[in-house]
Amino acid sequence: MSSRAEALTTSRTAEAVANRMPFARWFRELGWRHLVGLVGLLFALYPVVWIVSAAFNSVQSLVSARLIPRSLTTENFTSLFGSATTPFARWIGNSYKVALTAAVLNVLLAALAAYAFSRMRFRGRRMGLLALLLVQVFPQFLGFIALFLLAQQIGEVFPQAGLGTHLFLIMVYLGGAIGFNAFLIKGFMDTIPASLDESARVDGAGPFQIFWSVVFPLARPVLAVIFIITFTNLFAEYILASTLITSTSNYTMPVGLQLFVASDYSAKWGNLAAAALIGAAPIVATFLIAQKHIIGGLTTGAVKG
Amino acid sequence: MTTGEGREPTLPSPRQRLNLGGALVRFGAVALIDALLALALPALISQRSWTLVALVALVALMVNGAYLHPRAQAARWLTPGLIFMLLFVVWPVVYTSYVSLTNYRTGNVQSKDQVIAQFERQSLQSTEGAVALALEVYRDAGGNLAFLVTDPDGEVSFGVPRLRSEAPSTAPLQTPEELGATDTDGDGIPDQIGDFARIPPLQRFGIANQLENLLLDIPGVGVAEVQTTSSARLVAGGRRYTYDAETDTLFDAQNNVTCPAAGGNFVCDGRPIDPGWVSFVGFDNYQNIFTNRELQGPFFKVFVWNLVFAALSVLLTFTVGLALANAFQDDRLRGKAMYRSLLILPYAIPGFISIIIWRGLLNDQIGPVNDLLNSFGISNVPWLLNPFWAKVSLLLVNTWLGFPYMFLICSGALQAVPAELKEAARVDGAGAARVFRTITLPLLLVGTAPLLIGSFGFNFNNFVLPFLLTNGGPPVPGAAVPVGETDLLITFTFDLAISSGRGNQFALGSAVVIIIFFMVAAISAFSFRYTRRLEEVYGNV
Repeated sequence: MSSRAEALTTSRTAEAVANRMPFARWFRELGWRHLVGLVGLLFALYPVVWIVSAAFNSVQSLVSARLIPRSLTTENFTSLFGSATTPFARWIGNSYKVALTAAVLNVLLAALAAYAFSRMRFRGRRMGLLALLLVQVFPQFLGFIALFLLAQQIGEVFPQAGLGTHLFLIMVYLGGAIGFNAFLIKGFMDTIPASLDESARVDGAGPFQIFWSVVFPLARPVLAVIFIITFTNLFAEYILASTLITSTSNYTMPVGLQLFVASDYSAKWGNLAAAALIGAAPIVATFLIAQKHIIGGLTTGAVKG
Repeated sequence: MTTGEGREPTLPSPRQRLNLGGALVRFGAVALIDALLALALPALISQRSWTLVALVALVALMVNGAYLHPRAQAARWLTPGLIFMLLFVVWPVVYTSYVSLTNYRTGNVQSKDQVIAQFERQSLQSTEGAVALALEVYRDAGGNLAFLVTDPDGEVSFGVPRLRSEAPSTAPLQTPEELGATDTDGDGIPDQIGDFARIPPLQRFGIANQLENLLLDIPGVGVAEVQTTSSARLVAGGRRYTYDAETDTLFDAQNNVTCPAAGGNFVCDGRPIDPGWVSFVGFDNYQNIFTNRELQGPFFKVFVWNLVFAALSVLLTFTVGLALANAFQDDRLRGKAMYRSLLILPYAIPGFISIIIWRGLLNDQIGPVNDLLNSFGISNVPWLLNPFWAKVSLLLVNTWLGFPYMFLICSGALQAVPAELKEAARVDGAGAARVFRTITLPLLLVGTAPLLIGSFGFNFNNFVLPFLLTNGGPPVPGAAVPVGETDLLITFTFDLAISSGRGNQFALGSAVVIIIFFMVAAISAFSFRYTRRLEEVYGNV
């Protein structure tokens, strides 16, 4: 409360100062900052405004589209669904299915490994931690040729888990960021006092009970952030999805959206913009709501694609 | 990494009771996984997928070791994650290295045994003097087809054909009379032979594709090959190719040549014949990349642009981000929270969406960006089409995508620069620019260096941006491999290995991937050392 009151006073003083300042001085001290900010905003928002405008514009092509549409329509949204050649609803479904499953399991397995690294002492522990980081230095998608060939080989024997299946893609994603996530979670678990474990142990809890009822709930904030970052990364993953998924109906959204603009001139920009809005909205909303936490996670080294 | 190092080691406490329920669940789960893996083995062995057999064995070993060995405590927690990490992160690296040492590509994907078997199934084809046969097609209730062929002398043969890819049959044929033929319409052609009923000529067009692949072996005479739906030709019987294991050669009876095995193919008269097999070629692929003129040129062109792109991307995003962060370093400024929320929008929107939108915006004819420039009297810029402007477009869009990240980290790092230092410099007579250059910027770089190097590494392997914005284009004319002006190493590799129209060059692509690996390793090593050095230099500030 007090900090807000302080902020109010400072902003009032700022206002007062601004009001008293002659324009030249105001510009030299504050005005140019707004100018830089506005130029930044123009640059940042230009494409965003276009997406929104094109999504509600009744004209499909870009050339005749105006920034402020003459007539508003939701046609671009309704025609998205029900097309057989571009099954957009399926793509969204596929994307959420693959990214959610993989992200949940990924964070869970990473938390298990993190618990061992944080609470147990065993031979090779330090080497193991180092190995986790070293392995993650190499981006997983560089292995796309090997993964493609592996998927082909599996598919020859078990078509249900081979090339073109969501199952294989999920397993690949599951292995992806596990090392790095385990490392981050381990760091957080180290800050949870071991005395809590000890008292649970005295009460007769086994290692798994300690993990599940003491450490896991306390680590929830960091797990949530890592989950969100992992999910958004997988949701937007392109190279592995386009290598390992072969049929239109199994596409994830990033791969499927390509079909809207297969040719620039006949491209359905209206549909594309509407699809972009639907696809981006949940991610952007999550990002803005959890801004502080996500940015904290990202600036400690997690990379967003 | 050393936090908590001093904590008491967790030993299995003597008070811990034997948890019977937990043990049952554990043994049950292990048994279930073992059963599933065991079920997979026969199919894998029959397909000769030895790599997969080895991987299955590895998984079984890890699971059983971790959950059955009484002293394995930490392993139980690590194994699930470790399995996926080993299979889908570590193993691909190992396999990529292996593939890069082979000739794995379209046409060379099978084992040598499979290739020889395929050759030995091919039958001789006589090109001249083939005997024309009349063909009748029959079908039984189960959908099986049978052929009745009649040669110019009126000699009749009837039998069930085989697929081209199957081995020739030597079983003697039965005559229609032996099977019982009936000719109800009296046109001289049996309408029913045994279980088989004649398919009238007009109805055969529906199965024309199927017929093309069928051959009827007539023992002692030759092979009948379908020409049209009502005619066939008799080609000489017998195998075309014979493999001699002793000399490792394939004899081609058709052209009467001996083809020695060389590399991954049999070579007949100096020409390798398809299909070939996967063979180990050592460092040939790497040598090719660095010395073969046709490959060397494109590779180094892409490599140089890759470095320039990554470096300029970091420089541009950092400059824009820093300019904005610096402008907002004043507590009196109003609307900072709003600015911030709006400025990070490009970062929050998934890249694959915004890049496609930019592709539309930058279209040279119908794009709004050129529209805007036109209204200022600037004529159309060939954004994505011209080699130079395509590169500019890539950097422009990447700046848009990346500046919010730099803005965020610079905002944080600027706050950490001690105000007293700046004040002291100002007192000593330094102007604002000088304070920024000598105090703020160096301190800022210390704080952000690891992230800048991380950003360089990320952009070095940026796949989505060039792939979706320009698809690597515009293409470099006259190159021996598909390559574009804005291709980065990773998109170049992708085209080479997966999506090119010229076949899949898995091995060559893998070799480039391994080269990228070494570069990534170098960047990371540099990052670790550089960060440490910076900390030493500025550590006592």
